[in-house]
Amino acid sequence: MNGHRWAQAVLRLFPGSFREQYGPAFVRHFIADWEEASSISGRRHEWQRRLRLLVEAVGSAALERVAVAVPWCGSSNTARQYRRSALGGIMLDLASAARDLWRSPGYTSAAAITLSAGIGITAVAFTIIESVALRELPYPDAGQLAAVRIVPHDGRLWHGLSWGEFEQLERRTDIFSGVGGIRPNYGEVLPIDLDVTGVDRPEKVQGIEVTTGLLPTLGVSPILGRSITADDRDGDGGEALGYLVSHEYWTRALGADASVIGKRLTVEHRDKTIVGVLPPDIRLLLDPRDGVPVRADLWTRAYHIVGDNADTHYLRTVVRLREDLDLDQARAALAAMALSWFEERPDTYGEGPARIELTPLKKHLTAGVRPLLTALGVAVTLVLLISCANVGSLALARSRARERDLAVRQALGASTLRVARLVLVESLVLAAIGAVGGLALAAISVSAVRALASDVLPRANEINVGAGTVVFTLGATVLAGSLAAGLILLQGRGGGHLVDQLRHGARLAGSRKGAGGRRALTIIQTAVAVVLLVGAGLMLRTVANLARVDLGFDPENVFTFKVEMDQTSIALGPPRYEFFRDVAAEVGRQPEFAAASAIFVLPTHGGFDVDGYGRTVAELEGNDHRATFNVVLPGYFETMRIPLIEGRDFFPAWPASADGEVIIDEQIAERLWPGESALGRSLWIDFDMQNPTPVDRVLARVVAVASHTRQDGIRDLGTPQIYVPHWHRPFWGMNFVGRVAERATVGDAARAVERVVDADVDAIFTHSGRELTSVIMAESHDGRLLSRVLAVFSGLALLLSATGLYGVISYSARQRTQEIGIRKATGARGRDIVWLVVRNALWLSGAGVAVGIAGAIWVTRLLSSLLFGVASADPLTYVVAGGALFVVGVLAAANPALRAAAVDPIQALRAD
Amino acid sequence: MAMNAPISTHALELLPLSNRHYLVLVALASGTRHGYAVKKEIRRISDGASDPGAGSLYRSIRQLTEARLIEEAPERPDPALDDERRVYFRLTDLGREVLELETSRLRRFVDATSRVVGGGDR
Repeated sequence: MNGHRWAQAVLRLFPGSFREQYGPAFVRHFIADWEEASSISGRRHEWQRRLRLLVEAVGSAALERVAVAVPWCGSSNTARQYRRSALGGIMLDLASAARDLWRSPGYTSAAAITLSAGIGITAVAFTIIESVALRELPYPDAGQLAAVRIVPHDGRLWHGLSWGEFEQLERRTDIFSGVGGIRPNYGEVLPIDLDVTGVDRPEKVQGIEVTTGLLPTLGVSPILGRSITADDRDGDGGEALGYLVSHEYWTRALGADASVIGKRLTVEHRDKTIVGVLPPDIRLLLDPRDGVPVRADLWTRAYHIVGDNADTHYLRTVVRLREDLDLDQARAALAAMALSWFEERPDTYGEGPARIELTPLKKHLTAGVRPLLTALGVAVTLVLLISCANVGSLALARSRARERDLAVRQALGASTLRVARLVLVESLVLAAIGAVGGLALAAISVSAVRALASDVLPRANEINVGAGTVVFTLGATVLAGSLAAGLILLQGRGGGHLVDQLRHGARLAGSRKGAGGRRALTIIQTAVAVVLLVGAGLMLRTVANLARVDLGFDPENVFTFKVEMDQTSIALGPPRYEFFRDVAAEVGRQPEFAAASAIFVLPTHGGFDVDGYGRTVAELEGNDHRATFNVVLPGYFETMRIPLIEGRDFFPAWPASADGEVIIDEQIAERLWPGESALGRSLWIDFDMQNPTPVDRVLARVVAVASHTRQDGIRDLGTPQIYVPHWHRPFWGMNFVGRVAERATVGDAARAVERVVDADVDAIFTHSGRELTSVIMAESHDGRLLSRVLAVFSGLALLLSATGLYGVISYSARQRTQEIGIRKATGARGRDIVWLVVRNALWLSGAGVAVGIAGAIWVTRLLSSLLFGVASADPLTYVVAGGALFVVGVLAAANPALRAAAVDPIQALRAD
Repeated sequence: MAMNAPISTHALELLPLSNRHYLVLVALASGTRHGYAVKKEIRRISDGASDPGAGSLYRSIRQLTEARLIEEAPERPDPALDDERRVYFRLTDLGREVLELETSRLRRFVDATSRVVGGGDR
């Protein structure tokens, strides 16, 4: 774009009246300025000048627009009237601040980046806290919801209420407008998996049992059909018959068809009826320790099984308080209730009445992570404060000209208040730049945070940068800006009138009082940076080491999915084996695949322990050789590219004889037949499948010896392995592996698999597929995320420590201007002066690195269980981290050192 | 001019001027100029310290015109070199008076302050 185009573009921003009157002249003038920019000096300044032109023109256009829109301020045609208007005053302050900042780009960028770091990290933390703990729960009038727990007098841990207690609560309509219970499966903290067949797409889904009161209590009603009622049961057993389906399941598997109400579906081979469809995005938000799944696709009525122990306390209970009651009144009523329960059944609760705890649901949800969130909040507040302190010390280090500038303003009659206002506006402008950077940081890092927090925090998937974050960031920005301004004013001119400073040469810009504190702060920052760098370094090396491990198979370009068969329609024996064999063969025949097979437990996820093996029964019983076995289909070794050292794969046909066949790995072969071929030999294996029946102890012939793989995990070689053909152990669910053809993508592979499985009426997806590498790398997933987070944090820490060092070093260099002048006058060379200043930085860095390494040795022991191929006290990592901080120290000192070396001795002695 | 007396009070009310406004007036004090010439003159008299871009210059011109301190000049000093899109500006009587008042105010101000600061240092 040339000057003319830019001029036209910018002109469009001005109001019409301005364009009409000065348009052509403006364009000519702008083009002339634009051309001039390149002719004045080198290219280096060209873009700077042009940028300035653009900024100035756009700014003028904005001001002209304001003038048109707000006549009382804009038409004020003189500086005096303009200054008198409120907006004019602010605009002038802003313009003045922007000009000052523009003039010292080094200071501006360092301070803005420092504040970005502080504000960004605070914004991220707030986003987490707000999304997890502060945001209203997604139910109507969620403030009235509370969780109920009963703590018996003797302090035993009860997870919920018994049916008896629950029913008593249900009757207390004077306290509660709703009472709902959730029944974890058989009182254990386990989600229920249900088989659903008889619909177009059979799959495994999450089911949940709730009392009929739960959904009304939460304020949720079906968008189609009706809710579950007490009538949803069969004749005698009380078993639930009616099911509500989630909106997600309804759209995903039932085609969002409104006519599904009243249709039947088969759940675990029993016929059920769909009675209604829930609204989208219904979640059960309870303390994760309650073991209640957040989402479920099938909702059915929890019923009181006859003969259920009356004293089993498992019903997780949520109540809705009546509008006219507050928590304390409800608690008092419940205490009276607990007393009457104790009087009726003294044996149940111990020596005295139980305590019925009533916790607002939102608080209940985060009860387990509250200390963590508090710690997070405190930590980031510290970071924010440190970054403000650093801006304070950066400002101290700012050029002398700036100080004179302020002093001159004051001499010319600007009040202290006015100077303070200038500093404040300037800091706020800096903080605003920082806020933009900070929000960007928050937006970028939020998905990593979500992934990292998913196992730790409830509602982790809801973490997002919303309006709350923006408002909070604004607040943090104003706070940070004001704080930095306060620090600048306090430190910069610790007492005394500015004019006095100016007249007396202002030897010291601030008092010496703060110097020790600033040094200590710098040392701490450096130490923290070392700790974080060491952590990041160790995790990065771990991730690299894990990726380099030879697994014994080739995980690249392998697509994996899990299929179960409909057990009711496929008989044991050949049909069951042939079902899986044919699915694998069909997948292998697709053009998207080069080969396909299946294994029971996926690589790196282990296998079943055998109870022993040996050449004879005596040897089997007489040793404790460990080994794991796994069930495979023919073609597994070829698909996974696991070399067979000798022998052949299992034959695909159903075996003619009942003799056992196995493939063993090289470790077993070496142990049992060292130095010999294992082919054709027989070995006894005790499979120990739950019940020690003689059937579990079999004699099998070795048909091949495979090379060892890391079946148990990436981190170590693991136990020796025995592969058993599926026809020998006919499991009804298998993990398929398909090697993707060279020209095909993973997406093609996934579609091909769906094609095959959907065509087979007896096949049920339990997992519709992903890349094997993602399954395997799940192990190093946490490590990778952690290394990324640590890298970001150590980057921030490096930055803070650099700005802190820079501030302290250049400040102290300036304090020593007179000394430096004397040294130079008495013959010191520039090199000596540079060394004088750099030495100071090295001393500070050295102290920080020493403290940091000591801290890192202590802290990284916490990481040791996550590390792989690297010790937590790895010298290389420590040397690199420490070295990095020294480099940062030298870099931070470079500018002040060079400035000091350039000091003119005469000037230094006279003026300062 | 006939309006001298009322103008004087008006002129005082317009003080102090902003730097930019002041410099535009100074640049036009020596004669009628078009926009770009004003800029060059400002750069010359301020020794390069002030170098307004097109945006802020025409903004100042608009403001000064509205305040009746400057006006568009009907005559064109050098018809041979002229371009008819050019707009020429000149000081009004009010503008000249404001310029004089502001200059003497600044002179007094600098005199007073230089007794306090800066004097012997340079």
